[in-house]
Amino acid sequence: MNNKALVTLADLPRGQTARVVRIDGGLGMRRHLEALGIYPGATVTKVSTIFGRGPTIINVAGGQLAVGYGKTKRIWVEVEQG
Amino acid sequence: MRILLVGNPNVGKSLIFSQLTGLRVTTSNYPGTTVEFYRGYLRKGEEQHEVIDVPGMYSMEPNCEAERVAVRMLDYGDVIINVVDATNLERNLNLTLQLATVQKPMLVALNFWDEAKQKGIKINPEKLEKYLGVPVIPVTAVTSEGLNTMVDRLAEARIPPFTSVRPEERWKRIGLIVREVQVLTHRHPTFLEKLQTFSFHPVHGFITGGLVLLATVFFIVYLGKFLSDAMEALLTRWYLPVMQKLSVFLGGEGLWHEIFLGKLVDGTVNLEESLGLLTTGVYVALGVVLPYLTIFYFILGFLEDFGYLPRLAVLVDRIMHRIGLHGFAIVPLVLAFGCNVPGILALRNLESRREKFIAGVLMAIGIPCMAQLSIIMGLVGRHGAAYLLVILAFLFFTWTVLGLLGNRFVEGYTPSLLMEIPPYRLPRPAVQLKKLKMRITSFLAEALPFVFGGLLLVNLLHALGVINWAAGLLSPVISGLWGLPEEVISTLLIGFLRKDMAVALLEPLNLSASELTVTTVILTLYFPCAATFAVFIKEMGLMDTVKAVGIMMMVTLTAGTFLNLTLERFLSPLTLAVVLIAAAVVLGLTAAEKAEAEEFEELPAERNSSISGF
Repeated sequence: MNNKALVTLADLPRGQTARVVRIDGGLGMRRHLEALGIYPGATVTKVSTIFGRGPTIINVAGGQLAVGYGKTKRIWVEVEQG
Repeated sequence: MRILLVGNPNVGKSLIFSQLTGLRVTTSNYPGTTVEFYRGYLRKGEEQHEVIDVPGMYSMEPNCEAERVAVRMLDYGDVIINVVDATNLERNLNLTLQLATVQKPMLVALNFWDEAKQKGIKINPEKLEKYLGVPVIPVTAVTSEGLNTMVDRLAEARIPPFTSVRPEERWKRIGLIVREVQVLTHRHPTFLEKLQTFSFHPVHGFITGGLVLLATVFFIVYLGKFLSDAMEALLTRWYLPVMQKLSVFLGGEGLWHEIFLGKLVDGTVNLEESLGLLTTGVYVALGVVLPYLTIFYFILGFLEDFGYLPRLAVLVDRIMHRIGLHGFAIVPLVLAFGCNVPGILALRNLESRREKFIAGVLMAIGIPCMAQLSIIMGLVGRHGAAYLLVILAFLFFTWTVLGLLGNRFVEGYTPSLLMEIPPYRLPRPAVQLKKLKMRITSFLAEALPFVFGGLLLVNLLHALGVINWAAGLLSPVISGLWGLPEEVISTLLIGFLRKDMAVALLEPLNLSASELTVTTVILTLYFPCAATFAVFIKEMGLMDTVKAVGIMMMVTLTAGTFLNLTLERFLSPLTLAVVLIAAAVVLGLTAAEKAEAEEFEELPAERNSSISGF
């Protein structure tokens, strides 16, 4: 755990693959994310971001998702070794 | 037997439905095309089975109205066909495992089988069948491949042996299954995949988006005009002489002449100004609206099936948050340009009531449908593009101000975007043509009665003196505040029924360019057409409709007065248009940050709202 950095999805650099660790949000939000494959333990890859507070595009569960800025600030991920 | 087609959004359920039942329903390449259920029949030998196309859903716990409809319908079926996107097995199986808990006989259709193969995704259906405990049939909906096998194996549908587990456990199981049944082979990205990455590029993405919009507007304006002129020439050459003969036959006057052919203009009937059902009615519907609408739906159909709309939603997400919506709301708003009715229905894909209300009001007030726009372009365009521009600029301004106010004052929350991005797919011409045909047919079937009915009504009200009476009553507003001649009252009345017809009725009134502009703006803002209004009540409820109507009244009064006082008295149309656009942009930019800081992420666990249907 020590040498792994914990960042939000919003701050994850483009092209990086990371594992979701924690989601700070209500039940509804967590459920909605889980339905699309974002849950603690899931592996996500950041594809790109629309600048500023735009949505982040990620690859997850074999598909591609757009996640709004508000949500990306609440999804904590840990970057995998490398 | 009742067969339900259930699956994630955008896995091709509607196309399978069409292929099985022969019925046409709209299919596109974005999640949430189907928001209502559709029902049809499948013949299999002697038997006839009911097939139901269920709106897409990601999980058994609904996150929006369309998903709520879907979950409620599960009880209704005898057999579930779970349609699964073979190119995206992992996420799709999440729903499959949850569906198992419904305890109904089920089979799995692995759709996009050909695309999966092309993408180097190899799935072993027999193995998957063993893991899931239900029949698994690879299908390709666009070519109907595998659908017969699927129907033949319906009898083998079984209740899956899975039990309900916690989400993390479920995803772990899915991971195991996927690892066992699926093999990925590496290959180079295709052109479409490269284009996919390109559309999200912070710079290129926006440039592409701008170009797509510009091209769309360009095609509609110029190609629409070209087609419309051609249609008009045809009608004048072949149709008008027949009507003129009919007019002579009827003696040029009388009740029937008045209703069907209208008034004589310069001693004969005229397609644009006579206002009869067979003259102006036919001319407006076929000569003006139909050409523009065809072009619009042709382009929309392509963008939908190609998969561009979700990309557009991503690009505009930030801007949309400033008016209390998120990016996906752009999809219903784009649909509304075709017709407000499907636009309002598509609001079911939005999660919160606040978003639905804001988007619904913006749509009903500020988005003129293509039918109305086409007449506006024809009529106002004659006085110069500046007048057209000022109308659009004013609508844009109203739209922005209302959106900002809505964001500020409408209670509730707007969650941030969460949307699946489907891969780009090359649209198939056959599917495109069928969709276009379906939309045009539905325009002809649904709009024509209103166009004719509206004309009939206006002729009747004229005859009964109701119009003169109403004109006197409303004269302080119409002449006093808006500076318009009293006769425009008849267009406002018919506007309750059909907006395109209402605008067309302005033709014989010989209004000045600025009067025409003011009236057109008022006609757009003041009230939705009958069809839109009915759907609005059904989707939003009575209270929200009353609120929306109140907003419309206030906006119309202010807007009409403002335009009357400024246009051509102080500012030329071009200057006013520029001022309005600049003001809207400045307001939008300055109001932004506060609104975003207040974004609220908590979704209430369960909201019970009633919907019609089941």
